[in-house]
Amino acid sequence: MPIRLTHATSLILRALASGRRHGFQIMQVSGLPSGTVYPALRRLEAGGHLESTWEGEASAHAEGRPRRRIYRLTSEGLALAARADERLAEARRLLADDFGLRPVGGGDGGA
Amino acid sequence: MTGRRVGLGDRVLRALVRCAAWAVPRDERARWAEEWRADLHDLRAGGMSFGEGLRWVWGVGRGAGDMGLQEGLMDGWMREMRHALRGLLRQPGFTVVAVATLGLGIGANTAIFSVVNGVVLEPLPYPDSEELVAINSAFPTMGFETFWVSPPEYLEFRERTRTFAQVGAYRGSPASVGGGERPERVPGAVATAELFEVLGVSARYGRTFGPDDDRPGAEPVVLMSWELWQRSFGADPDLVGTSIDVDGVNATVVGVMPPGFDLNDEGIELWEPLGLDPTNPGGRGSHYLNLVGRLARGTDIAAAEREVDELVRGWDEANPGDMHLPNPETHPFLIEPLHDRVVGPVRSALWVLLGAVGFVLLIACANVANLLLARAEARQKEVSVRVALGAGRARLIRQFLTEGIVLAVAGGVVGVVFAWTSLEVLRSVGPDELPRLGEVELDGMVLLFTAAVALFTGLLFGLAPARHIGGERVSDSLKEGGTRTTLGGGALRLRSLLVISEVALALVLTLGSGLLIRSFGELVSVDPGFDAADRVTFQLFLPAAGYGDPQDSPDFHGRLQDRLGSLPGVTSVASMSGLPPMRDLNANDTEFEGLEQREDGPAHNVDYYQTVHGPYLETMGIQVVRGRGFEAGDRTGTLPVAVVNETLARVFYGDDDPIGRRIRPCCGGDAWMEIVGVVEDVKQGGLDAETGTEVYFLAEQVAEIYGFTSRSMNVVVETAGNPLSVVPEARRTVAEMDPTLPIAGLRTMDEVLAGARARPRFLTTLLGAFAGVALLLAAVGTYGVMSYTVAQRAREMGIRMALGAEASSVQALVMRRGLAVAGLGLGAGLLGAWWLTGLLESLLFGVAARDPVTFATVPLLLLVVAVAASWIPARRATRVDPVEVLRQE
Repeated sequence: MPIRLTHATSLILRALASGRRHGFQIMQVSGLPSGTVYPALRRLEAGGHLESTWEGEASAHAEGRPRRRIYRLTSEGLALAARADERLAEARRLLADDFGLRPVGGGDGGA
Repeated sequence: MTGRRVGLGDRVLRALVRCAAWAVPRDERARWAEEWRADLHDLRAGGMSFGEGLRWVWGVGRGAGDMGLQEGLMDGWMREMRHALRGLLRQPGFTVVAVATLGLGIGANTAIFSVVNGVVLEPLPYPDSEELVAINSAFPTMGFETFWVSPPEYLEFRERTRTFAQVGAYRGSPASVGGGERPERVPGAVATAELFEVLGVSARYGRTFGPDDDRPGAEPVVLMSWELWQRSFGADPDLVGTSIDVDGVNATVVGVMPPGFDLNDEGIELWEPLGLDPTNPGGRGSHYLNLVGRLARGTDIAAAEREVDELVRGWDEANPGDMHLPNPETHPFLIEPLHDRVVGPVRSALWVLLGAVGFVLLIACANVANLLLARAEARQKEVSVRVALGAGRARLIRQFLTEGIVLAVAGGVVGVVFAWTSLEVLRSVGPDELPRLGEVELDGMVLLFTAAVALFTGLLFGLAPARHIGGERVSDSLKEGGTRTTLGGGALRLRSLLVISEVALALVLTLGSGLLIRSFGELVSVDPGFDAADRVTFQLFLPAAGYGDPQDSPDFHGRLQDRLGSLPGVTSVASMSGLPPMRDLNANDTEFEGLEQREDGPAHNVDYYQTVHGPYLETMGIQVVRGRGFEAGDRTGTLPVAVVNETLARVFYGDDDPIGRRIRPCCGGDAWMEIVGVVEDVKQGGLDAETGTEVYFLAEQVAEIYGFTSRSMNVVVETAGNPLSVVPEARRTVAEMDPTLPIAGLRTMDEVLAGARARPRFLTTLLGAFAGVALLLAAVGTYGVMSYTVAQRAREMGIRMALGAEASSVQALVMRRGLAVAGLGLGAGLLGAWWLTGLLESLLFGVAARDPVTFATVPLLLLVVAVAASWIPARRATRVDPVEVLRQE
């Protein structure tokens, strides 16, 4: 399935570029609404750009919460993330040039 | 992160997450839900509020749904449903009006159907209740269509018939119950032991009556209702086997009946054995028993009727022609299902109500269909484009159907809530007017009915726009371009047709309720024959145990009247045995001196005996029309006197003067009573009934001459105003005279009168409310179609005005159109009503089913409403700006 590199997808790729994260963190880092994140993650996964695993029962149980689903980028995903970064930077430059706007989106996306 | 305490908010959000997961394709649903749960947990731990949580869940669900939609993973109908929901939410005004309209229609239907179901359709709450029959007698030649059965007849009936497994008998007989928290007068009955066997109901605790209880001279025993046991005896588990005070006698409680046990909706709370003596059952002329029989297995009611008809022909061959012996001509038995006996009086009223709410639902559907049509037409261009781009007709039809169904389901939900609320209200306002109301509930069958109605509605109006779109040619509607021109005649015709039916249905309903309102007006204007204002009444029962001598009761009432009469604000006090305007028929054989009982003349039988004490006629405001009323000099030892009503004077004496003639009441001594006066008629058998014949006696003279005393007397107190203000003093006075006497039925006489009109008022109010809703909906419908017409023809109007047409002529154009639609509806409605109001015949009083006044005025009222509904759009038409309209070309 071809991936359309939307703004949201780009932000998600970026959030994952710095390491493994679960859905909640991706939302926090990307600032995207919940309704957007999960479908986008699913599409990326279906396209082979990322893979996901359940965290261990033991740690979830110890903290008394449900298991988290952890996502990480595959090599294709990393390549796509790089392309997305370029696109984001380009877009930001254009916006700043034309309208004098400040860049949007998280900086490095630290949790 | 450590585990948090799980609150209600978390639990709600988790449940919602589970719901949202339904938007995810099935094979991935579990995974997503788990992931969401984990994230929700982290978010909540991070301090997310409940409100934000709700938004988050809504977001994940929506996102998943959108994805499913884009990838075509969602099932077709699910997708349509979502589409429909979104479309409806985009137009909240339309949706609220449509759902509210439907909810009203469906809710009213559910409520009324619940009542019809609980009261009429559900079998009576006895095992194999279809085998139960009510057995009565009749005296058709005397005008008594339903009469009681005498004890000898009961014993003979039970012995001779073979089609009945068993026959029981009872009569209503209120009882004063002491020994509980306080003395209390409760509805009661005396019954044969067989009655409980017939009904097939055993006691919840203890037992019902056995043959040994039900014989003369047996130890007094009673059975108690569950409700009385709960209310007055604190549900004492050891009550069975102990004694309580019943009418001043110690009686052993042998059992407590199950909750809700009753007979013929009389609210019986205490049962005593009838104790008939088979060797000496009492007079043939004394009819007071109600019979309930259980048909033998393998027989049916027709077989029972055949057998009884056959038996009646030769009941007593030794005494042919005796009026009091069962015989086919003058004294047959009547057999009907017990169910008919209980619900008979209200059955037709309930069916009329069900029909009426059905009309309301139809009107609501027509209105929503109109709304959907208007909406479909507004989207016509969009739809045409979609058809042009390849959307299949089937797909569009499915979409419209889904919208209709979604609306109907939403309306159904609103309707159930509305119905539930209305039932609560109905239960609180109508407990005495409807039998079995306590058994009414929103049950499965009713819900099924609602679901069917809702679905039918959805299909009905869902199809209307679908059909319209299906018939449209794409190129035409693209050319027409939506709003610019007069729309293809089809749509307007359909919408006009809907409005015509709405107006017609509304007219039928309004006419029906108009007839009921007029009939109720007639009922209110009936002169009961006495003055009700400023009077209060209550009932006292003096038990044989403490008031054994016949003169004890008149003495007690004499003293009571003296004491009450001296209270401030009291102007007059008296007592009477029967409380007008609605009481049981007496139908007592009475001798008229000097009058022969002729074959073609009236039977020597008087409908009502009224035994009074004190200045009765004055206290009740009953006018003497001839002779005199009772006077202070009429008492024991003086000439026995009687007063008769005008009907009795006319029926028995015709043009002769009854004053000075003598009569002899039934069942007592030889003494004659002299008629000293004729008073105006007082209603006794209900306000809507013909007044019967009536004789008034003085309590102390009846006690003296016949040794007869009326234990149950109604005290009436006339006050100078505000009758309830004397109640506390009156209660205290009674308690001082005899603390064991319960006061029952304390009401103002105005309330007594209102009670006699309660059932017709109940019906009139409900039908009036339905008619009001119908009228409102029809007005909205007419307004909608006329507004639409004006919007469609704005261009034409603009051009007309640009060419110099007067505003008034444009206005007239619109009005003409509106009135044509309304006129057609009124015509159709009149035809329907002419035919349908016949069904109301039995519910009307003093008004013909085709009452010309109602038939002339109500359509005018609807015409006024139609004019008003067309007026606003017509005014709008005149304000069309030609320049504006033409620029839109």
